[in-house]
Amino acid sequence: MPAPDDAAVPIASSAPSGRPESLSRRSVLRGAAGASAAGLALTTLAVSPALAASHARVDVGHGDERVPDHIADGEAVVVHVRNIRAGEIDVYRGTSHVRVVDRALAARLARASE
Amino acid sequence: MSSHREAPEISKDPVADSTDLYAFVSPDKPGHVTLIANYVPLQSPAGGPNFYEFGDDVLYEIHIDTSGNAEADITYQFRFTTRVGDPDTFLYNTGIITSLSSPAWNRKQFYSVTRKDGKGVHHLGSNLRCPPCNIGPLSTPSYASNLAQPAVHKLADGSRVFAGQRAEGFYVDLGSIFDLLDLRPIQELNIFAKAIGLTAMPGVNSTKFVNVHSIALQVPISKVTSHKRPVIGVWTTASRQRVGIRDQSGGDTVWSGPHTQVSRLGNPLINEVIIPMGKKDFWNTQPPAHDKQFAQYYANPELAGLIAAIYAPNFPNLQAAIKAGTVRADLEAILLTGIPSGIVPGFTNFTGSVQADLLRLNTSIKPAKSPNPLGVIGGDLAGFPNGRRVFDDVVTVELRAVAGATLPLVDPSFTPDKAVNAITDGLTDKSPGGPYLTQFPYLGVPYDGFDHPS
Repeated sequence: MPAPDDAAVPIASSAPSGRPESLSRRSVLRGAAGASAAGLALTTLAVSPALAASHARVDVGHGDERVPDHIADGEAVVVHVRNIRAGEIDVYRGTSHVRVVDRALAARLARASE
Repeated sequence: MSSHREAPEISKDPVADSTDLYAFVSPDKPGHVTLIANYVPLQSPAGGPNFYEFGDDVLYEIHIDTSGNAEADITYQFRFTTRVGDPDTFLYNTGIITSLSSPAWNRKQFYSVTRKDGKGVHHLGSNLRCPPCNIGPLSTPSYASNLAQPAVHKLADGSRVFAGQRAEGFYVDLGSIFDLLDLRPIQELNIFAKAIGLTAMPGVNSTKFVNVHSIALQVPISKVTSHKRPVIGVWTTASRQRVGIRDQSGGDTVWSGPHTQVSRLGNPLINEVIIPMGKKDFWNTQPPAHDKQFAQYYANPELAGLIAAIYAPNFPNLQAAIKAGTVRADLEAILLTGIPSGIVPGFTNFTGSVQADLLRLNTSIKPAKSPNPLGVIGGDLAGFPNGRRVFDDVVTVELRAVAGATLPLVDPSFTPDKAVNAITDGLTDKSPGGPYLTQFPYLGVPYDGFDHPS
């Protein structure tokens, strides 16, 4: 049976099936595409084992501020830093969810929240 | 109630709160199955200026297991969109709403229907109109003919659909049940009521004159069964996207991420009185295929012990069975696997060994000519727990079953206590404030706010 979300990309979450995870309001940062979140320089994007086969390492371009053409202006990208020290970051856009592990980025976001 | 506000978290999210689920062979179209999922509970008809509606940010689904593995072989999805005509008025309607396209109706809701099955994704309808809420005789005159009936739409596959406000069809004396199980007609047997000298009284319908929002489908039986298996398992879910951000700039909540289940419903009253407080929210997030983890609560229901204790000494056999640690295999069968053949003469709604809370309907059972709201335990094989009709007295059925009425189905040595047949909250299918309909969508015309102001 297909997932409820037609356009969903593989979910890299380690959450128990169907169980929502609690979100810390303080650790959720929202940015529109083209704004700070999408424009953050990611050198490597490590993903959870669930996505490892298809997305082993994703280079999104260090310091590259271009927004991918398929992302519409005004489309929200939501970033949830799950664990700052472990660098676990959940990124939500549309009906998709990916988890990246980037301790440097998590630290930058934490500093930005101060 | 059936599943109204039945868990702590979903009680704070009414538009996603599934309240009742119905599945039955349509009495006026016996080649069709009607599926109804109700949401948005306990609507006071006088709900203005912001009358009730579905959630644009909620994904509503009705799932059907046709193969017996408790997984969805068919899913119908419903997505809603609200459009405001004039944002510069506070009014829901600026005049008489004479039709679904009336410009006087300022806040219209539309929806799409998608079916997912083994052959793919099928878009069955879009921009389908909901009816307005029933405001009153000045605003929504001739509600049934001008507004409700035109909101019954034919889908691309020949099915029919309705989504909108209806009269609450479920009836229960909630005030008595949660006041230490003080069933008014037999309260002289309740140890607490007896202690202060209370005597038998008629039941009071707590859901009289309230409305609900229904999603109703009428589908040819051939489209919801497969492999020559007449028994289907049905459940409904509501899901929200995982992240919501309250955006100060526009006042709206920005939603993002995949959908996650926040409410579900198969059999009535399960998360209400079978699942314990600490598991209710979790239960709402789980797929039925994982229900084995909850089987202990069906096998040893807390409610049975309460009945035996509060109505002592009238349930000695039930009390003895509880003391002996009797596993309620009858309840497990009725609610988690369906009733295998050979237990109730001429009947089965068994789906397989997978324990799952599904509303199981044997579509080969014809509608009853003289229905009994007590369903199977009343000798009417076309009623609950063979699916559920809008008028079925599921409160009495489940109270009696938990009190031991159905235990002899699996343990012929058990004799139900004489008091079992006295159990009732005193209500019948005549207890709702208005009549059920004899045709789709079967639930009654919603109560209007002018004539039902509280």
